[in-house]
Amino acid sequence: MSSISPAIAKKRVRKIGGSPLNQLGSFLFVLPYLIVFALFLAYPIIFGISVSLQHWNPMIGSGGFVGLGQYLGLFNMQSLTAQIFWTSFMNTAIFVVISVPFLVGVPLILAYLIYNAPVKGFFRAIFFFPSILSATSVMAVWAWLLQTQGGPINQIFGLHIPWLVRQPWAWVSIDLVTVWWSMGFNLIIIYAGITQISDTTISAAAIDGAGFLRTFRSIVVPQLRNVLSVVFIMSTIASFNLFAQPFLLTGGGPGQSTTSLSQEIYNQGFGLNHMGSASAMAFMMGLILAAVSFVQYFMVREGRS
Amino acid sequence: MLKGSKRLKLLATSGIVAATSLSAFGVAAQAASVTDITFWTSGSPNGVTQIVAQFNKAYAGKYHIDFRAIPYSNETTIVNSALTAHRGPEIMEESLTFSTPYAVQGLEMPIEPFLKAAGINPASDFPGAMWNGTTVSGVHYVAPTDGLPTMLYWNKAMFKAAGLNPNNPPRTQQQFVADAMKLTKAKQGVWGFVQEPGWPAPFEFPSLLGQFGGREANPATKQMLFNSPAGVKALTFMHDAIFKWKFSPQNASAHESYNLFLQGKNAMMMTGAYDYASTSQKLGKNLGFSTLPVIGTKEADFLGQNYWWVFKNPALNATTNQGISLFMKFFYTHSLELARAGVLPVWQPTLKSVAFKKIPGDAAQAAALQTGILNPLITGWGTAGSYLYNNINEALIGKMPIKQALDKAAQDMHQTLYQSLN
Repeated sequence: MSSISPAIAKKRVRKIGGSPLNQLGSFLFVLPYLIVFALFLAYPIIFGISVSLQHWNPMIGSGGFVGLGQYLGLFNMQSLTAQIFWTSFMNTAIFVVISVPFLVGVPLILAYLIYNAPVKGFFRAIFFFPSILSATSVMAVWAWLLQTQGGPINQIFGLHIPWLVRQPWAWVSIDLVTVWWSMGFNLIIIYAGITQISDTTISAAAIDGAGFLRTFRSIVVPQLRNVLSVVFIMSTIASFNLFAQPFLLTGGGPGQSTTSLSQEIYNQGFGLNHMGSASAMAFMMGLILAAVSFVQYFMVREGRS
Repeated sequence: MLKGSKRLKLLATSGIVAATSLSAFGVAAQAASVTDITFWTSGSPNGVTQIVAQFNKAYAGKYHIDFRAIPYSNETTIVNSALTAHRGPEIMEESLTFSTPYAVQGLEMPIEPFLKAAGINPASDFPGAMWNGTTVSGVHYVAPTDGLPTMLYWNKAMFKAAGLNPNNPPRTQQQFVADAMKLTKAKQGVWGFVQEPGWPAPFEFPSLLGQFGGREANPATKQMLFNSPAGVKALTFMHDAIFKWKFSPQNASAHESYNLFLQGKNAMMMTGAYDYASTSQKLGKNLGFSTLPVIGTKEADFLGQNYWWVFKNPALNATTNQGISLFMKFFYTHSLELARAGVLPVWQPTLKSVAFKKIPGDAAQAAALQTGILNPLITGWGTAGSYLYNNINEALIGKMPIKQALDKAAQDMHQTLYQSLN
């Protein structure tokens, strides 16, 4: 075994630390990212925080510093701003609760079925296809399919369901369309996870007499725990950002029952020019989302340990 | 010393360079003498593009209109971003309600000096309904460019099949209800009229409200007025179409009135003139198209519209202002191009012209301008209006009593707009 003299070791350590020139070289490598980060992430966040602390009209700029007034206003239930914030927050929370299980469960089942199917590539492409379509085109087609009187779905099945006009059907429709449209990514991630499960484990289970369902329940799902937790957190964040589906399918109705928080922030900021309260709403939404994600992550980590 | 041939080459090259520089300078000098005027619209570019091209040709070398059509869906975002960056247009065309915040914030120039310089007399050259009452704090900042009235569409073939005179559409509430009931065969999915709980209420409700003698709001007092007895009567008619007379299906989805109309399963629509081209193409001679029947006590017709204004801009000078005036006059005097493209002009000489009256559908729309009503000029009206239409929606699906729905909307809108105005 070769030994290194203290002098050489010292020299190497100095080299790892690098000369100022080397450090500058390293810095130059990360500089492009730093510039992009500073311009498109750090600055907008800081500017957004600054706007949320002021009355801000996008046409004329600041209308005066109000400190935490916009944030505190979101808890003053006498004000309409607080009422619409929490109403739209509850609407969004309802959507998260009803959509996330389907956005994880349906792709999980489909991924397992595709894994065991003969033409995997074909089915993967079929189920992923809706994800590449634009929100506008998807919603326009579904708005037509789900019409009450002349909509093809009601016509074909001889139904008279007011899919987009009354509750709970409006949520059912939004959830149905969301799952159809956006499960492709989850399916691909979960499918990739299934392919990482050792064949030996699955073969051993088969030798022990585990059937199709038992293998799914006792081998596949537990082995996918980490993948599913990531998909679960990503789906929760995506669902919290609900915007296009109610905006284009139900117009936020019936009444305001499907108006999402993102939609309300947009209305406040760009419709009413209340950019200050819109920014405060957005940061509040971000904080809530961070808290929910943290709890989810913590629960998954606890479960794993 | 340079040899003769080399000297010649050098001289030739110098000559070419000098000539190129001079011609470039000439072009630059010419370009510098052209005054560019930026003009943005979120309305239909149909017809406008042709007028702009004609203007640019007629005033080549002097003025150039830099025209841009921006998407209606996020117009405020685009315009506000441009204004913040001091890159806003000189002339902006949008619907009336969008103009108000800019006027209130002092970002618009009074329009009358531009019109006066162009020799335009707004009181006589525009329909009164589109000029009167379009002031902010008593000042006219905007002038109309086109109109989009609420119209009655009817399917003549369905009228004929039901034993009704296809050329005699209903003109009163009584006739409308009687005809609609006669046209309805609910079991076969055929309706006399489809009352959607959502769209096109923003066209239909203000029209009916006006017909019953009501107003949406008073900008001077910031008071909501649509929850008046007139408002209740207007919404009651819409409600009764579904629940009392039952000539409309319950829970109609968005666009269902239009889709069923095209399929021959809805005999009448009351909506904006924007559907004229497509319904006319589909139904051909079977399409009936006229002003609204009098559901209330007098004629009134909500007008969708576009207006234009001039943004305050440090770059504006006498030459630019003159160019803007010239372009405005040119636009109005060539507004037959709009009519040919399916857009209703508002320039009285065009409206009265023989050529205009020959264009199918346009004469009927022009009649609606006489009894037109506009949204109130209140900052944020467009967005805050969603409270009104969400509550109308609740009433029309039978979830909320009519008066309660309107009162709730009035309360929410007042709070939003009061906050908006302060």
